[in-house]
Amino acid sequence: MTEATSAPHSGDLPEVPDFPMSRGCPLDPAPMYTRLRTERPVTQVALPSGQKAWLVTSYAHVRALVTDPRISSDHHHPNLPLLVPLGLSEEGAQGGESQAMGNTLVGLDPPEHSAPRRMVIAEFTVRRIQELRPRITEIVESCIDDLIAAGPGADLVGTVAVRVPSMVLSELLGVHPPDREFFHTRTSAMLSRASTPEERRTAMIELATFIDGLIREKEQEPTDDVLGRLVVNNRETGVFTHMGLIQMAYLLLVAGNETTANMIALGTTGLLENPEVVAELIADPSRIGRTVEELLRYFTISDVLLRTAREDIEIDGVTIRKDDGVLLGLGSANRDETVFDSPDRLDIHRGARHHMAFGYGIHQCLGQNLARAELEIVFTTLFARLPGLRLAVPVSELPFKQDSNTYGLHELPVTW
Amino acid sequence: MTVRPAPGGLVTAPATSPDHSERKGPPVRIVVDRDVCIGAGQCVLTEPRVFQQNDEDGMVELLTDRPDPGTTVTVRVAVSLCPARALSIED
Repeated sequence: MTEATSAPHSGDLPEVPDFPMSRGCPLDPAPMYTRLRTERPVTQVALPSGQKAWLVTSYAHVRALVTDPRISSDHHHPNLPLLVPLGLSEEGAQGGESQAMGNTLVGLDPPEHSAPRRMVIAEFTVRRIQELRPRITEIVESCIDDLIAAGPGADLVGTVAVRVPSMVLSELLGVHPPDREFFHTRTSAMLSRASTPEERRTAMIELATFIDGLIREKEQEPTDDVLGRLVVNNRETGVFTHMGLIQMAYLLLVAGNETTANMIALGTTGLLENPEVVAELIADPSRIGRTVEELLRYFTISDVLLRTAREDIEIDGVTIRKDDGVLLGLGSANRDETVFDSPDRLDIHRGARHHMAFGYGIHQCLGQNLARAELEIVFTTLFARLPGLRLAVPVSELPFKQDSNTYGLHELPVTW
Repeated sequence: MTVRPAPGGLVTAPATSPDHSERKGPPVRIVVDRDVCIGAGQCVLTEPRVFQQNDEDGMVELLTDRPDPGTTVTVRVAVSLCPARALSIED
């Protein structure tokens, strides 16, 4: 994408490199990050819109800024460093999504952020997620049944990666069983590369309309599920308007769906490319926790967090001015060689929990323990049932989501 | 006391933190700030013998504020992992 990345280890570093920066190996972040971390860990970059923003690449600086109260998550800030300019979005949904989610949770600063987050924290505690494991396992088993039934050469994204989180979330949120297929087809259409921008927009509107109806139903007759309890709690606290409830449900859906699907697809690819890790995992399934943690670090599907500065910030010899856009490089930070030994190696024994794959600070992923459970169960079940699993095509031929805010795979043909 | 590993068996000190070199430390007192807790559950994952999340609101609760010296290392890890900096230690 940029001339600079074609020679990341030689020549002059451009004063203002272009962003996003292209990956060399599809399993690694942009090679330019390695150079920036040592030479200029806080640098200006030029976005596709022409707008300039600051890119932060070192672990220490990212971790300092992500918890700095002078850094804002306000999704309505005009300088928010959008990677795909509004209106030109190939995905067609970015503008809509940031509108739908921006004033819900991810796009709020304290103190406005606290009350809505508190409304849903109890649904995602370590204990609650632990209780969901038997049901998640049933869902995963049935998806792997479908993969096996489809036969060698089947696409793991369509059968397992997208399906598992969609089924888990629809059950968790309280979608009635007859409606879960509708829910799944609409969420899939939003994620599918085969959908036109128009189809994606339609799926998004249909989904929002569906959630609206679901919440109205639960307001009439509350049910014992996440949305039902949210509706009941909201009667007492009045934190959300009806629209706010819809946005919250939509956020839980979007935030929990594509991210987990991408991690399942990339994680499977990472494991298949490291057969010695799979062998270790099959020999001792109790290694799955560490394995998932390392896969989260290694792939860091949210490459950057989008922020703006509330005031001037002096850091690393430069001044980020008030209202400047800031990109916090989680993907780069999680490969920082001063923090992780041999960071480009997938090493399940490093036991590194201090990665920032779920972010850090008050916006750290609410659903992280659900994601961990889903990933642990998928990988364990997958390799227990298909120990001879392998890629059906070379990694270089896999369709990676190069232009997406969340890294992943469109398809993953596998064989066994 | 039997050692109950965290889910996934992850009880590890961040490689970069010099504080975690000792395997057992002197007794410490843990202080929690529930006003800033965001219920991420990192502490519970790291040291379930000391931390839990309240079932009603999901926020951190201490099973003891003077943990067994055998847990000092993992308690320090939990403190360092807390994304909201809701935990601190008084030596």
